[in-house]
This record gives sequence, C-alpha cells and structure tokens, in this order.
Amino acid sequence: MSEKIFACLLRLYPSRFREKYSEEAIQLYRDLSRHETGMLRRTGLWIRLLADLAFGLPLACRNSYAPAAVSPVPLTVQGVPTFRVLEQKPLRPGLFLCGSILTVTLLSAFSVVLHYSVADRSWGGSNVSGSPIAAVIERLNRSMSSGQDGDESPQRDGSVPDDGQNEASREANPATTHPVGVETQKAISPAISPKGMPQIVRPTVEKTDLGHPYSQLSKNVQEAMPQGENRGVWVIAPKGVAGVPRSTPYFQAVTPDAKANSLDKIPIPSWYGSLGAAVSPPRVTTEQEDCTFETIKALPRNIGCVRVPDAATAISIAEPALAKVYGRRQIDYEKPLTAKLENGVWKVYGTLCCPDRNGRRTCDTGKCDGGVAALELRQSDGQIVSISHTK
Amino acid sequence: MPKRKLDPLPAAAFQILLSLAGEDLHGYAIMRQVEEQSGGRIRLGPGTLYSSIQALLEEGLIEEVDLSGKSELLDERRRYYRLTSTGRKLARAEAEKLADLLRVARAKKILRGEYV
Repeated sequence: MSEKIFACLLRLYPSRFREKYSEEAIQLYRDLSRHETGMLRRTGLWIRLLADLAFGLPLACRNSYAPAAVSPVPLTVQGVPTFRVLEQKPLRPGLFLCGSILTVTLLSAFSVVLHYSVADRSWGGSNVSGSPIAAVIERLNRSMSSGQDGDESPQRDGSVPDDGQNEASREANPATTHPVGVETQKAISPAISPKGMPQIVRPTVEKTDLGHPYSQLSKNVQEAMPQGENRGVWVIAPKGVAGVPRSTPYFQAVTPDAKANSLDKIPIPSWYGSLGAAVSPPRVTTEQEDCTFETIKALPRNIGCVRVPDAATAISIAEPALAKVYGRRQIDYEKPLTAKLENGVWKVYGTLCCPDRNGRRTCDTGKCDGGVAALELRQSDGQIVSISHTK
Repeated sequence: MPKRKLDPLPAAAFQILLSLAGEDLHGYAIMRQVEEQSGGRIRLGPGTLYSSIQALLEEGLIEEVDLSGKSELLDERRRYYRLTSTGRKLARAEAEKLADLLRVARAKKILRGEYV
C-alpha cells in the first residue's frame, strides 16, 4: 500500500525523470522500508520522503535529461583555465508557455505606459489646443485644482519650486519663450480634458455661491439662532444637494476656523422650524475649496468662496506660473509684479526694466522699450485664464 | 551564457561526488554512504538523490558504469555510477576551498573540540 502511495508521489516528477529513475526509486523505497521498521521510524521515513519531494521536485524539473556531454566542460578548478560553451538544450513546452506569458505581460505593460505617457501630454493626442503655453496653463490649473503641491504647482506662499532655469524652453517653442511680441493663450475649459485623463473636479463660479453672511440673513433667522452662532457664513442646502439627505434641508456654519466641513456632519438646528422661506437656497457643494469668503463682484448679491482674495495672493500664484513659461531669470528681472482686479479677473503684470547707461537696472517709466509678462487669473477659483507677454 | 546548475556546487551533489570517490555505487548505496560520511546529518531522499545524480550526469561529473562483464560482482537490477576525472577535479577543488575556509576558521580560533 505504502509503495503505491510512493509510486503516486513519483508521478509528480517530470515524465523523463520517471522514465529513467522510477524503477530505481521504488527499489530504493523498498530498501528503505526494509530498514525502517516500526511505527515511529516509518513515520519519520514518510516525513523525510515528503520533505524530499519539496526539495527534489524543483531540482528534477531543472534537469534537461539530455544525454551527457561528450566532452564535459570542467567547472572552476583552481589553476586550470576553464571555457564555457552555450549549452544546446532542447526547448521544452513549458518554456514556450513561460515565454508567451512573459511576452503578453511585457506588451501589455508597454501599451499601458505608452497610453498614459501620451495622454499626460496635453498638446499631443488630445482635443485641446496644441499650443505649448496652453499645455502649461492646463497643467498649472490642474495641479492647483487637485490641491497637490508638486513641482509644477504654484504655491500660495509665493515660494517657487526649483525647476531649473527655464522649463518653458523644453515645453514651449522658441518663439513663445522669447519675451517679445504679444501672444495670448486662452485658458482651456475644464470640461475639455484629454481623453483617458482622470476626472478632475475643478471649482467653478457656481460652486462658490455658498451662502449668506449672518448680517444678510433675515431677522427672524437671526433671532432664531442660538447665542454664539451668529457669525460666519451659513449654508442653506436645499433638497437633493450632493452629500445632503434628500428629505431635509441642512445647515452648516462656514466660519473662519471651520472652513471645510462636510455637510452631513452638521445636525439640523432645533430652531430651523422658524426659518420658513426667509432665506433663498443657494447652490452648494460639499467640495469646498481652501478659500476665503468674500463678496464676488461678478455675483454682487452673493458671498462666495474666493481663492484669490487679494493682490498678494494673485501674485503668489502668478509668479511661479510665469516663471514656468518665461523662465525664472526673466520674471525676477521684471519684479516687482503688480496685480489689479478687473471684473473678477486678476491681471498680474511684470515691471518693464532695462539697463541704464551705467549698466544698472532701471525701471523708470519711459526709459525702457519692450514688454512684460502678463497673466490673468480668475478671482473666484484661481484658474489661470491667460499667460502672455506684451510688446 | 546559461548559468550552470552545479555552479556553485550544491551540498548534496558534493556529498555524492565524495561518496563515489572510493568506489562505484548504486543509488541506495550512495544514499547510505552520504549518510555515513556526514555523520547522519545529510539523509538524501529519492527525489534529491536522483535529481542530483541526473544533474551530475549531465555535467559529465559522474557516469554510469557499464556492467557488461562485471555482472557477477554487481547487482544487475541497479544502475551504478562512477566518478569521472572531471568530477574528481571538481570535488578536489571544492574540498580545497573548504579546507581553506577551515584554515581561516582555525586561525580565527572559532573552532572548538575535535575541529581545532
């Protein structure tokens, strides 16, 4: 019986191993069985045999079972020169299978890498503008929207990522990098994203229409509010807003120290019943931006989320973006940058400077010819609208 | 260049080479010889034994013994194996390498008892 079990185990070995050694192995097992008598020793023998199966099976699979070399090559022997030749092993079916799997895997990986690397380049293989500057704007906006502080992201604190002298020289053609002439690239609509790119959630003006300040709430609402809650901006979410249960309106305090709460964490205040239709429900979103709440001129009756509340913030966003396109050295030369707000759009300009007779930098009006870098970005969400250079 | 299966030489293969250094042996006898020369520390099973033997045959380090004319002395049902000159050289080189290591170990005084 045990011999039959051993013969079954031998079937796990490669056929050529069995052809050559199965008889001998069974004979060997018989010899072992003859010597290993008694329950304990028999058990030990079987444990050894099973362990041997685990170690011996890989070894048996590695062998080629080809006839022995006629003139075997000596292995490393000290003092004797050794030569090695390529062994002519017969191809086994398993090798074909492994090769096929490996090839398919590599091809799949290659196609995936190729797909993403092409899709990542905004000017290639996409339906957006083919301009390099547009591509840079797109990438800057994308990095801002996703809130990642990567090396391409303009930072709010004004710090500039060390990206080398001029990345634009690699990404833009020579004509656009030269600070002469006017070239204006309109911003790419967020809706137009290259095919295959992950969905990017971007702030829009609509989403900034978050609520009303305390002072603009109707009197009965103010009276209904408990003491201590009469500050900040209140969001009144109508039915069906994302993140809000459909059956109940919700309230949320958006105060300076609690600016990005999730709506569903705020319980319905007990005084809600007195509200009635006092407050018209604005559109809200749970995707609140890191922003300040101010009056938006484009939407004068609303308090909204403003990502670019002042000139300093506008410059801090614009400076690294301009440096990406025109080079850090050029933008440093055009400092100080100035920003002014027009119709909800911040317009950031460099200062026109040039060397005077003594070779010193002068920025006096009328003394220099040429143009400056210009960037427009929306006040509401910080999206860059255009980057250009004046004459 | 394909990597050789026996480079470096596995312990089981080296033990088999050593066991065949004195006389021609069949599989079971090799197993016993290995067990004896290793003081019972190495006990080859059929799978390891014959896989190692096959690898040694493929490398030309051992060869099968031609039984014609010697059948009265040997068990005809079994295959006998013999060390080739290449196998002997390799076994010697391996043993010398171990001897060098042993010398170093002695010099470092990390051995105890009968190994000193």
